[in-house]
Amino acid sequence: MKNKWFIILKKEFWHLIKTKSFILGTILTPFFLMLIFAIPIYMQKKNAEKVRKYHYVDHSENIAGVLKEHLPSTMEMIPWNSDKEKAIAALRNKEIKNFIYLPEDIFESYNFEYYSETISDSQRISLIESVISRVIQEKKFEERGLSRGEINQLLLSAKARTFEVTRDEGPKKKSADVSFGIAYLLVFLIYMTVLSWAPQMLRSTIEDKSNRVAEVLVSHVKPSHIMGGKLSGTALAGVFQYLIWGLMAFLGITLLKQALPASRSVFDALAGNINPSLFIFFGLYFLMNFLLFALIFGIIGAMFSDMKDAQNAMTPAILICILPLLFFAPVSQDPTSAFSVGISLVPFLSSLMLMRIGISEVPSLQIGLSIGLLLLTIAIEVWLAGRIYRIGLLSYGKKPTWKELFSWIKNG
Amino acid sequence: MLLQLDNVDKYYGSFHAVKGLSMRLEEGKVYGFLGRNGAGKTTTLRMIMDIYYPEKGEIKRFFNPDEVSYLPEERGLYPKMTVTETLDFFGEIKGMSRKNIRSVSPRWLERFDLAEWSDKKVEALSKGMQQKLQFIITAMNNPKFLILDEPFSGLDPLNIQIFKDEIVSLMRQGTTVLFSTHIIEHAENICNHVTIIKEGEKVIDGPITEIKEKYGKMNLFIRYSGDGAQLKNGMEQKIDDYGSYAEVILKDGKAYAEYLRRISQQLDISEFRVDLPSLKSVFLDAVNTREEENEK
Repeated sequence: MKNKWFIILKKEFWHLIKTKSFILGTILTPFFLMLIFAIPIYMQKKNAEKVRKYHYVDHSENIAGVLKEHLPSTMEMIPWNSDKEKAIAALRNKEIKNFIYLPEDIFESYNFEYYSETISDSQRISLIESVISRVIQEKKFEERGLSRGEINQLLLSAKARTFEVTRDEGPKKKSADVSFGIAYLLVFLIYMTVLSWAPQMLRSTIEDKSNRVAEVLVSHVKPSHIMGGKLSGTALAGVFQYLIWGLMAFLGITLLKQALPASRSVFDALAGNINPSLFIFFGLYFLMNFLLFALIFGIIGAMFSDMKDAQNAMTPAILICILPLLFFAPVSQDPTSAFSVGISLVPFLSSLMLMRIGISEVPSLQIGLSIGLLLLTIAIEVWLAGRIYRIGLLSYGKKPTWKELFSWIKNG
Repeated sequence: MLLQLDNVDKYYGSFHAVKGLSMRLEEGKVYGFLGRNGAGKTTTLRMIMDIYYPEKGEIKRFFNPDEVSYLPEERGLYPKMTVTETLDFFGEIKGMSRKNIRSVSPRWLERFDLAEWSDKKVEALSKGMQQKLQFIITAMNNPKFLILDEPFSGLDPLNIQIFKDEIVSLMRQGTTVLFSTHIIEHAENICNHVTIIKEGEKVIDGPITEIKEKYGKMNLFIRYSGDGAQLKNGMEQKIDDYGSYAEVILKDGKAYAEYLRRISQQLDISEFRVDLPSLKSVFLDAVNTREEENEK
């Protein structure tokens, strides 16, 4: 029998990319993701640009006057020349929307009061808080006879600059947020891909069985080639989708860079934080995780002839798929702990190893061990799948018992 | 020689599905593979197709894998593929080049009245049309060896006729056909050679005419007047007497002339008809004999 896996690959690939869900998913997902990110940014930006009026009742020594100088132009301070009670009454009568009460003892107590119809504007309130603190501090330093320069010096606030030190390289300036963000994104990408593409193996295998095509297939194509063809066809469809998304992202970033020159520095900073070797590991773990889970789904597909039965058996497999998400937080907080090392070596949780590679220096022995365990698990799956596939593809009707399954493995 | 099975055994767990089966298939003949449901026909065909492996024995194939075509009993098509895509996919799987597929498929579609449907999806075709398409993908690679598992099951009467005609025409072109069926009449009219299996074991194997001669007994249909007791003269094996009409099977199936001579001396015979045994009677006889032997 000639190697006919390529015919199966072709069929699987074309079949997949012609489905409505693929076409819609490919086009809509980036827009959907963009909306998720763009809407809050847009809303925030619009909110920030909106001029809001803040009334105030100032019983202090004209702290409001200094406040006006320090606040951005989007926050307009309007005096309300009356006492607190009258201002509250005006607020109740909807004459005004809010007011800030600056008491006489503000320089001692550091407290002021804010009254409003809604108290959701926390960002601007905290801005007022920090400006008032600063004004009070400046005034107190002035009273002690310090010069403006000295005061500025004293009121400097601290800012962390982060460096990553590895065995091979000296300190390298890196943003903790960015490297965590990239590692998180890559692990998430693996998890998303596995979850959306690996079950396709199950669907496709059940389809062959429910359409009664399986026996014609196995009579001309070796079961291992059918499985190999399906795996590579499905993987290719997944890669094809990522290529389209990559192209869309590239075009989007290029356009954005031209339209908003300010965004250039953000992308350049991102590019500076990316470690090329991380992407090689990403490719490796991506492929191995896909195989690891797709084979499981393929085996489940061969075991059942009914989608409903298969779906029940799929649930534990999907739970294993999403298990790494549970350990995201502990592993990212302490990537070098014994727990993190141990858990990331488990083949089904190996995406956590990629996360550790992204945010810390992982000894090559651990990486080697992790890849070795993954390959071993995949090899065992391939062996099992080959045996279950041959008999399972031709078994219709009732669900196999554990005993039957064992005999399939023994006799396949 | 096209195919040779030597003492092939197949087990499913503790179930002995095929027991020491030997078969020889010569090129250019039509072989019927008969047996009741569950007798081991499909298992044997799957072993011939290298889908299942025998535990014991040997299967020698004198053809290359792309020269054989197999129509399983469980058969279907991808509903979302168009007719053309279906022909392309299954043709390629059977080792045909795309060019070859495109050159032969119009003729096949024309012959089965499917030419207008080539761009339609399989799910849009009627069941009868899907059956025709199924046959096309089985035969389009012009196989040297065609294996059909219950080819007529589920077919409408019109398609049974069309399928039969196509099988005969392939046979005339020199294709060796091996088909399994539990409907004996189909085999009787098409096959040169039959193999009957029962519970995984071969019971009868040989050219159809020889089998009928060897295992079959002539049926005598007699219309008479007179004393029916005169029908019994020691030559008969079984008599089914209705008073003026009787069906008789003789111990020596070929001695009907002598039997007629003897009874016509005693009775007034108005009709005496000799019928060759049907394959069905051979089949039932063989299976029942076996059952009796087993009971003993």
